[in-house]
Amino acid sequence: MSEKLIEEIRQIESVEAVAIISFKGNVWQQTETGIPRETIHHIASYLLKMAAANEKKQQKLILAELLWLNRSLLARFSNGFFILVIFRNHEVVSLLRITLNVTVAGLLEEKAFLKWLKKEKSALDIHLKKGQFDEKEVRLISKLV
Amino acid sequence: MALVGNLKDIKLPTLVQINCMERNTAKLTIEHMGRFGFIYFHEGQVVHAEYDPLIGEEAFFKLLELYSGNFKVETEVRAPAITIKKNWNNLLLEGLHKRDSCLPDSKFNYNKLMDALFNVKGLEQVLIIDQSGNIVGQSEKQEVDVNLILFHWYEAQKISQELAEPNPRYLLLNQGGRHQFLIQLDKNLLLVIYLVRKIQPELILSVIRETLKIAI
Repeated sequence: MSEKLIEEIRQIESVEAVAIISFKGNVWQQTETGIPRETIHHIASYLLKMAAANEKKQQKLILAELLWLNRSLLARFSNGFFILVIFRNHEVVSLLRITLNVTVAGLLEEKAFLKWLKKEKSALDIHLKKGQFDEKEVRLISKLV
Repeated sequence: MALVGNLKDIKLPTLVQINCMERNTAKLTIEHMGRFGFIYFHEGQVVHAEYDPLIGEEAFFKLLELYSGNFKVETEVRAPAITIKKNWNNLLLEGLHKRDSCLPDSKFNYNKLMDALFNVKGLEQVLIIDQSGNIVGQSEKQEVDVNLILFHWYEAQKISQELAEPNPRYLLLNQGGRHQFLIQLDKNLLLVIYLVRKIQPELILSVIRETLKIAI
């Protein structure tokens, strides 16, 4: 079922990559794209750091949207996981937001996914404590009260 | 009956102009973040102002820096003292000049930008910070976690690098009921906008483009 959900997102015009990622940083499913898996993995780690920083301030991150000149990124967060979409045509952003809401609801009804998610249970703050950080990240994280 | 509203909807200079041109005798009360300010009009002249601990012209000039806050205009209320004798027109012009010139040197006209942005409904707070986290402009003195903002923006820059993209045009974060919108104005300045409802980001970008005449 989750293949079908992910395929629905992928079929939206100009979508380059879709991935479902746990708060541990592991991928449940990912479309084969021109974007290397390693890149997706790195992007996911930055998004998890953002969500972790938010959580530290008792703010729940629901959606992150990034826009470049010819590319966009959406990350829809839910309990324990998030869906990452990278796409080219920003005009489809509203459709994508709606589709992501539907996908989140669909995933939360899928037994196999929920079983995997249970195993993947992780506190977000781990992303501010462990992993690779450059000097600036360390400095900014240390200032997050 | 008192006229009530918010400075986000009617700017303070406009309120002053209306009362003076109508030759009103009135008391204008402004409540901003729990602090109260008062401006008194007598037959169309500004005659007294208070904004704790300031009194007179200084209080009036300080009040002109507010972009939000509830206000109430009560007519036929007389001033408890006369602390301002300047013609209202000159006073207002001087105040606006002071307000604009007290801001740091920049190619950007922050006040013009703030004014334009606050015409967008649903906008709660605006601030401009530099890369070191110094607040260069702020719509209201509300506490914000500048380090969290800088961290978000830095991670967004790192994502850009991964995708071999330049810095993002914007980063929009939906944090439940509140949306945080980050836009880079130039190499050093970051515009941060808090919204209480969903607004098309393009609308905000077009306001910035129109006001600052910059490509964004």
